[in-house]
This record gives sequence, structure tokens and C-alpha cells, in this order.
Amino acid sequence: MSARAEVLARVRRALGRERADPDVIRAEADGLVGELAAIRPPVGDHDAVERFIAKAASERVAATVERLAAADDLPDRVAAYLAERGLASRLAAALPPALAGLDWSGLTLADAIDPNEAVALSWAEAAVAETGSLVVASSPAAPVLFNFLALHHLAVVRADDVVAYLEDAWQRFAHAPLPRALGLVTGTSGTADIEGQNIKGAHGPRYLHIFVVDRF
Amino acid sequence: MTVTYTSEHFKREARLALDQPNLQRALDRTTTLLQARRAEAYRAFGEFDAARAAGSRIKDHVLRHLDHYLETFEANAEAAGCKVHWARDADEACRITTELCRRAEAKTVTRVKSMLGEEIGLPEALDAAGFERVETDLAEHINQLAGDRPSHIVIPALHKTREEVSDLFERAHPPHRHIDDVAELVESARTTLREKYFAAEVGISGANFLVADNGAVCTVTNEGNAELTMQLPRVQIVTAGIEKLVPSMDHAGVLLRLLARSALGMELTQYTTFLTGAKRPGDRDGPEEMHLVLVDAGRTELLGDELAPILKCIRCAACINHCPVYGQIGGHAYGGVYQGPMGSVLTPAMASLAKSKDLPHACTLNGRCDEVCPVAIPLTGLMRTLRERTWRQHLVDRPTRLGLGLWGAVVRRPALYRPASRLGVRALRLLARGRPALRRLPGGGAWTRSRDFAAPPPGGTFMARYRRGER
Repeated sequence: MSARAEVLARVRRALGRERADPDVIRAEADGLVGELAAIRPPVGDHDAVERFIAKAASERVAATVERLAAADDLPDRVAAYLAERGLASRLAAALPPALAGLDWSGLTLADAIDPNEAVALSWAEAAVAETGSLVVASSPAAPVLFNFLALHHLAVVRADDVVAYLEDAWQRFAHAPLPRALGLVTGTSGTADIEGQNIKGAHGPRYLHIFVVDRF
Repeated sequence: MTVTYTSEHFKREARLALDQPNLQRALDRTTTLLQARRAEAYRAFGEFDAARAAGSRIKDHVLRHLDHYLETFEANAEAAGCKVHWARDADEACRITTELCRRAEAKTVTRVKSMLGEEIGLPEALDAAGFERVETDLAEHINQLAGDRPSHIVIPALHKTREEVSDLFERAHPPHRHIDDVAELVESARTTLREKYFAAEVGISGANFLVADNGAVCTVTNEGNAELTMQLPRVQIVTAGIEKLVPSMDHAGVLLRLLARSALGMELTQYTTFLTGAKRPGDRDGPEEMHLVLVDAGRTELLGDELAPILKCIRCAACINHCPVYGQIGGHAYGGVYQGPMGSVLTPAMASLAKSKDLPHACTLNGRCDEVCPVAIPLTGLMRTLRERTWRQHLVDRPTRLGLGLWGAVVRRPALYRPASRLGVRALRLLARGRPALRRLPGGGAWTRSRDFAAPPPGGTFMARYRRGER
């Protein structure tokens, strides 16, 4: 007997039954998350974007957030971020066509990421007001490492893409196969493994800076 | 690979732990902090109790339909390009994993902390097969350098002081300089591990959840080491216990909200990632192959047993952080991979009760673990079940057995018990000579060696006082 067959047989023996009806199981499973409002923290009536910004900038998530009226301002604001911190004007960027077409002439954008890259700019498909999380999804235009490798993680999200709850975030991907890597990024790479001291930049980003853009 | 952990010397190890001031300080500081954080997260989430009930029902539901969810997950994971393997036991799981590493012609294998990996002895198996194993979780990196075992399932190097870490890093990390500052120590590990992430041919992780209806593997970390370990090497391997399934993303969401709050008082960990399959056409990064090993290793045996509720555990460590026994003796005394209340159930349940018979007895039945468990596992109840089994399987030593047998015989006979307890109370009060507690008790040295024996209050036995109307 294969390991697969044996493990499944052991499960059925332990449960003391044969195969159950999948429709019945599905109905029962749906019922378990039927009333989400009763089992998740209410986001409240605030504007979801405001709430997201407050959460992301909170002490726990510790991101810095800038709200931009128009995408056209993005290259200047990125340049300002780098200049204020004395960083070189080169960064790795993985951007959708709408952003790649902006005037980036003051900066050097690399489309591949170096193992010791200082700054990476990435696109978030959505953001979650409940937790202050960014939702990043892999695709040919959005390699995964841009979110996890550089010391400074700069991310862009559309104000219209801010959703209230975690469930709303993955609901956006429900009608197609899930992106190969779907990530909730809620802060930076941190550790408290040595004497409980919170240290940022354990493996990946030490800084997270989010641009929330109203108009494209 | 046989795991060399053993809980046979629990009592001796526990006594040694009590005499280590460094460990006592570390335990006190960390458990106090984590209890406060969890309490704060609980207060801030008014729906916590309802969410906890839902989380518990989700886990019960999955266990009741485990065969269905295993098959559904397998079909969806394979459709997404992940190869699913099955392992009956720890040896088979290690064999499959090391064989996959060999086929990938791996020299260096990076690993994300996974309790299942520890449980099946995967680190030892990888070492024995000759791979350079690199633990990427900072605490596991420290433990690997020290040759130590994890002492806590969430904070595995809780027992190490900054000075000890400093010495280890000075020896292991080029350019071998002495560092005192914690931030600089972390930076030193960052530099060393960064090279390994890029050098590794295989990355191995565990899973926090396996999502049945889309085949996704969910991992949560604060360090972000899972993302680098799983995305940089050419081959990615996940080892996961068969109990890790959830029906859908929404069900995972309920448990995610409970997990980080219970573990560290956070709403979510910093990085929560859902992975489905290997690199897709056009992708510029990601692994060429993704493998998942579904591991039974004793779980199906538990499923049909009274102890089945322990399979609901989501490894948050809230029970450990709130356990007064763990708070005194730390994790190593438990001798296994798992500690505290969940460990005192899991280790005897999955390995051998004979070799870990002291664990379910190392509990005051105060019930704090039952209260804080985010999926409502009746931990003290399960420990009582195990205690009964040590009795029935004759694992209790002779003097205790005789003593308890005698006690049982007396308490079942009121005509014997009442005069005997009257006599006992009088004798104890005589010995106490008016003091509230006895420092020494003839024949009770095992008790009074480490604590006082409370003297009975004035007024005679409970029955006497009850009859007089003192209620």
C-alpha cells in the first residue's frame, strides 16, 4: 500500500467511517465563517484609507506613510526619501506600466535586485485597514524579492485599493488562481530573539515607507 | 533518523533548571512580558471569545473530515504546480526530504524553523546526509551554533543571554570581533545569513496552515526569513503535519487573528505568506520546484483517541507562556520538542508514555492554559487522561502506588476516613505548635524539601466544621 493510501485509510479508520458527502462538508464549513462580523475586530465607520494609514504608522507596524494626491508626484517623493536619508539615487524597482511610464529621470531604476540592495520599490495590489498590512502578489511584473530583501522597502498602493478586512484582501484574488506568492506585509523584518529586544532589519527590510496614491 | 530527545530525566532536569539564575531571569522577564502582551491584545479585540469558539469549531470540523480535506488540498496543490508527497512516519518524511535534496544536488540547505521538522528529527537527518544545514530563524541560528535544542516553540533561544550570543557570534561570524550591542549582533547574523540564502540550492520550511480549497501553504514569521528561504533556492520543500489543514482562506483568517495575538500580542505577524506552486511562466524569481511532504507520524493514531483535541493545536505557545511550571523550569527540562502544557500532552501522546510519564504530572491543574488556548483545547483534562494512563499502565512508582492505594481504600470508607482524618488533623496541629505551616514533616520529606506543608486551621476537620454550621 502506498503511504498516501495508508495514511488516508488510517484517517478513515480513526474516524470510523467511509467517505463523507463533500456537499455536506462544504455547507458545514461555510457555516463556520458565515457571520464574520461577530468574530473579527470592527474596523468602524472611519474612512478605510485613514484607518489604514493610522494602523500602518502605529508603533507596532512602524511604517512611515505618505499620501500623494497624484501618481505624478511619486518620482519626486521617492527622490526626496532617498535624499533625506543620504541614500544614493539608485534603487531596484518593480512597477506596473502605469508607474513605469512616469518621469523617473532624476533616479536610476534597476529592474533586477542585487543581493545587497539598499532600496527597493514595489507595488502592492491592496492594503488592509484592519491590520495596516500591504497585500503583495507575485507576477512577471512583480517579482517577490523586491518586497523582502532590501534594507528600505518602499511600496506604492492605490487609495482605491485599500480594503477594510483581511477577507476583502483575498476576495480580490478569488476569481482566478491565487498568485504564486501572496503576501501580507505588516511592518518590517524584526526579531526579539536576543533578550526580547525588538530589532528591525533581521534579514530583510529595516524601514518600510508606504505611498498611498489617490489619483492615477 | 531517530530523535534523541528524551523526557526520562524530567525531574532531575527540572531541579537543575531551578538552580540557574540566568535561566530564571530570562524566564521571568519573557513570560511576564508575553502574558501582558497577550492580555492587551485580548482586551483590544472584543470579539476574541467568539473568534476563539469559531477557531475551535473550525479545527474540530477539519479533524472530523480530515480525509476529505487532505484529498482536496492535494488535488489543488498539485494543480497549482506543487508536488505532494506522503509520509507515514518520521523516518519516511526525513527520507523523502533528504532524497529531494540529493536530487537537487544540494550542498547548502536553508531552513525556516518548523516544529514538525524538529519533531521528526529533520535537522539531524540533513546533517547525517552530509548537507550544510543553515538555520535562518535567528534564534535557531543561535541554537545551531551553540548545539542547543529549542527551549520554546516560538522563542527557541529564550534561555540564552546576550553575552552567550556574543561569544557564539564572535567564534562563528567573520571577521570574528567582539560585539556587545544587540542591534549589532543581529546585523552580524544578517550579513552571514544573507550569503547562505543566496548559496542554498534547497530551502525547507514548515507550514502554519494548508488551505484546502486553493492548495496554498501559509507561513507566518516576524523575521521574513521564510520568504527568503522559500524564494531564493531552486527547490523549495515544505514539511507539514496532516492536521494543518483549513477549508479556505476565510478559515485561515479566523485562526491567523488568534495566532499572533495569542503568541505575541500582535494583530498579525509581520510577514504572512501564501504560496502555491513553483515559478510560473514569466516569473522572474521563485523556485523551479515546490514539494510538500504531508506527515502522519502518529497523528492518525491520536485522531481516534481521547487525546485527539491536542491535534487542534496551532503552536502559538500561549499555554507555555502562562504555565507556572514552565515559568520555573524552562523548556529544556521537558526533554522533547514541545514544552509546557501542550508539550506535556503531545510528547507522551506521540512518543512513549513510559519515557515521559512525569510530564502530565508536572502540572498544578491551575487551568490557565485552558483559559488562554486560542482553540479551546482542554489541556488539563488531557493531562488528567494521561495521568490515569500512567496509573493503569503501572508506570507509577511503587511507593506512590502503595500510598495512593492506601489513601483510596481509606477515603472510600467514611467510617475509617473520618476518625483517621480527625487523628491526622490533631497530629498535624500538635507538630505545627500554632504555626501556620510545617517546615518538616516526618515521612513527608519529598514534599517539605522544597516547600512548606500547610498546617490545618483550628476547628477540627472539614466535616466537623461543616456540621457546626461553618459554611
